[in-house]
Amino acid sequence: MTKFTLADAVDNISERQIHRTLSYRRRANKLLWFAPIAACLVIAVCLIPMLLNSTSTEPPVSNPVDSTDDKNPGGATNDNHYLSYNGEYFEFDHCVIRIVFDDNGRIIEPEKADWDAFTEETLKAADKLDALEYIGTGEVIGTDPNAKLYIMPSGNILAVRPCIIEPYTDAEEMLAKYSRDHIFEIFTFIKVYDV
Amino acid sequence: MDDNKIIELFFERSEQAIAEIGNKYGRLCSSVSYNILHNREDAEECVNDAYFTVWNKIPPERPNSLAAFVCMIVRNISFNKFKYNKAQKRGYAVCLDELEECVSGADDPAEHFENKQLAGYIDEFLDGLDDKSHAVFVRRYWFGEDFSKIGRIIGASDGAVKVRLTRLRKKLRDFLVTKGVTL
Repeated sequence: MTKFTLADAVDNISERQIHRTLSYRRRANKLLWFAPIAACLVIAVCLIPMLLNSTSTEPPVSNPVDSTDDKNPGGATNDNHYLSYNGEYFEFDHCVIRIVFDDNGRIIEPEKADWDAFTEETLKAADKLDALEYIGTGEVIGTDPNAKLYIMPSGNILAVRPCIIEPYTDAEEMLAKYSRDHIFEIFTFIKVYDV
Repeated sequence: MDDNKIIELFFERSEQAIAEIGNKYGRLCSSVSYNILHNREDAEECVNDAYFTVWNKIPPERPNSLAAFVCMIVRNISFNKFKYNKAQKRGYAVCLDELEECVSGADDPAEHFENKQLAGYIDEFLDGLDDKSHAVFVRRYWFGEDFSKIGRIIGASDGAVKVRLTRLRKKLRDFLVTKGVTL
């Protein structure tokens, strides 16, 4: 009888098995995309009754801190996702970050296509945060002590800059995977820590 | 675009089919080829050759899974290129070395028949695995992906992936021996 190697066996893997493998990844990705939506639903279910009962414009946070506080310039509290700025409060549970690579696969920074149209003066806020953690797709996790949160006049978050992806060595792989046009978008949670 | 619509474009002999398959599966194909060749230019060339092969195969073939169908063609072309390049012991060769436990026989009709049997056995073996082990095995040994990438996909560390692969190789070896395959 002919002798085979295990490599021969692998060469005989059928199309059906490849399809099963690819489907596994799709299911995993679906779960990842579902996570932010599920979290948003949970947040909504928890917050809406509290907001309905509140007569104040302030969000129902235990001890919100103004961003002008030198000890807490981000104005964030530890157990919620609010940022105070000039007496207004912004909830930032998730946003879209665009990550741009250069031709060598190095990350330039998050960017909006119309970024140049915005200046810090035209923005609602450009607030320095003391610590950020991006809790996103599982591929983008990082912290940056110098990150700034940019909020548009509409109250929507424009960007968090700079954005750090760890590990950097994954940049080339991510480039191959996502960035035919050197840009991809992620939905990500931003958690702000009290310092 | 839906896979069935892309296949219909192939049947209509519309060159748009190539563009659509490139848009939808281009990155996946590049990844499959690059994991074998570790050379972007070669990988790109193989992917383009694969598109041409798909163009020639559809019609008459109508694959059940377009992604798997394209991947298999890309892998075959890339693997031939890999052998042609006689790559040194690096990259995909390392994956093969892990599986290289004896010497393969000659190419003859008897072997061809046995190869078909072997294909049935490997199908049976893979059908018996849970989804995670299945993904780990096929991604490592068919797609040639590295441990860290597989770990991210299944949510495990590199070490856990390596341990799982060691067990799976032993399990496959034992399975094939019980089927009477000479290893």
